Amino acid sequence: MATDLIPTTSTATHGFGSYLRKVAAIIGKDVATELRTKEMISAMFVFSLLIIFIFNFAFDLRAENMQTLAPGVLWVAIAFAGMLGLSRSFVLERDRGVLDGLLLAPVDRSAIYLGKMIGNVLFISLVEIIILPFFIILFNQPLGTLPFLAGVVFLGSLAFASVGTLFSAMAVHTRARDVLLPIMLFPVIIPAMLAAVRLTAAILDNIPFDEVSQWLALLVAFDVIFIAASFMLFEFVVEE
Amino acid sequence: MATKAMLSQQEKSTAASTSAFSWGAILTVISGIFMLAALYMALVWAPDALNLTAPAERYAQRIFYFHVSSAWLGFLAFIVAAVVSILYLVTRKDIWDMWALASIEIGLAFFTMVIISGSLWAKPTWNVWWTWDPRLTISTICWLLYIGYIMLRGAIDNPDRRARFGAVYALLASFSVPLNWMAIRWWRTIHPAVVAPGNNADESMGSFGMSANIQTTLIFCVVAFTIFYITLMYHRIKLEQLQRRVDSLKQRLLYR
Amino acid sequence: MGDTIYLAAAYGVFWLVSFVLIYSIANRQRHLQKDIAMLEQLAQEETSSE
Repeated sequence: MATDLIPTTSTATHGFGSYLRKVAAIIGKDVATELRTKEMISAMFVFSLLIIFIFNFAFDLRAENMQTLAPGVLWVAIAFAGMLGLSRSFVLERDRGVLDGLLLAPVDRSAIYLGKMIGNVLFISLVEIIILPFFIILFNQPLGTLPFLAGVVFLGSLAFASVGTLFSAMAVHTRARDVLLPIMLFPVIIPAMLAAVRLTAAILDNIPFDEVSQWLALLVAFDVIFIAASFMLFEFVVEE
Repeated sequence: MATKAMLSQQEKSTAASTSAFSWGAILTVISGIFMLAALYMALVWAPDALNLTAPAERYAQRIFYFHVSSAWLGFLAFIVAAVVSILYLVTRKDIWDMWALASIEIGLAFFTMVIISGSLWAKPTWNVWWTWDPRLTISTICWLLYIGYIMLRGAIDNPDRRARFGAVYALLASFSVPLNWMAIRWWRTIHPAVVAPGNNADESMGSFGMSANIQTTLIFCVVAFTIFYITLMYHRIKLEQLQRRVDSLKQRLLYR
Repeated sequence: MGDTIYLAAAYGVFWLVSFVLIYSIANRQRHLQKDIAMLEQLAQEETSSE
């Protein structure tokens, strides 16, 4: 249904099934490239570990209770590591002419977006799943919070990747590509960040869910709105 | 032949600019009169707020007229930019791109005023330069979003791509503003009393009595700022048209 | 005077920013007009020499 909204580049692309297969093919391509070198995932992992570590002892002197800082530190780590991954997302594509190939292929533009976006979510989530245990150990948090934290981290990564993938595709076509992405992305995702930090704090402090349900609603609403908007606007970004 | 076309274009544009000049002049004069009148009303005509006793606070209260009006202008500029961005993406007419750029540049200038004057009001009233008050925070976020737009445009050489990316960014940024607004309000209401004034901020509009004259002054200031915005837009769009004419002339001379 | 300093500063900022904005628009406009005059003269010279 969504495919009807956007003019397809090919005549032979019909049916939801074939659309999904194309999205899966693009995800598969990204995952295969990444698995070959593991460059991005390892860089993101080490970087976010460093952030958590540095913050932990940088704040140690003045903060009376490190626990109060934990949610903020976790999300700063995720935001910075995610930025690292996103800024690389379209660089390979552009430098090796992959994007031109993708655009020439009989693939709907929105499928390219969905594929790249899901790929980014996969990478960011994977890194965060490895990071979370370290975070819990370093900040001395209860282990039982892990599944809930993973859920919030996933929703936050989705918010991050939704608009981040679109901006990343824009940023590679500019002169100052690496510098520009955070400047564009951070102000836009502030609401998602606030919601994610709130939810994380609620999980760590054992606050009843009723008190923070509006934040969950905000985070989900952000995800839905920005995935839908980016999905429709991506076509304007890659048309050449 | 190219020269002929160019000459005829030149004639047309000079004709347009002579008739347009008077329009620009009229707008400029009107908005100048309105802004001076607004200044008089805000500083002299409007009565002191009754319940503010400290002189510093009473004087600072008068910042409020221009502060609120600039915030209104800033948000208006943002809304206009979002609407014309949609129009650009649909119609692909250059003029809408000029509108968006003009609107955002003007909005940026006025948000700068909002933030600085808000800070100058907070100092005597709340005794701090900065609070994480929802209105102040959202204005700053809008300012940052605008800066992103200007920087994005500055980093792209291809004019067609610049317009397209600008429109996409302006649109997404405008989606983020209401969500930001909600998030920041909740943030404050659920997390009170870190900075006590942050709580009063929600009632700050009502915290001094809005007598009839105060209200009239505020409405007049908002109207004056709206006219000011229209005038600035007119001149800024004219400027952008000139800029593009220079660009195309240069292109033509280079590649003939 | 000490009480009005914030008021004066705030309105000062309003007028300063407004004037900077107006001046920058006027200034750029003047430069562009000059550029256009020059470019058109150039174009004409080139066509007359052809």
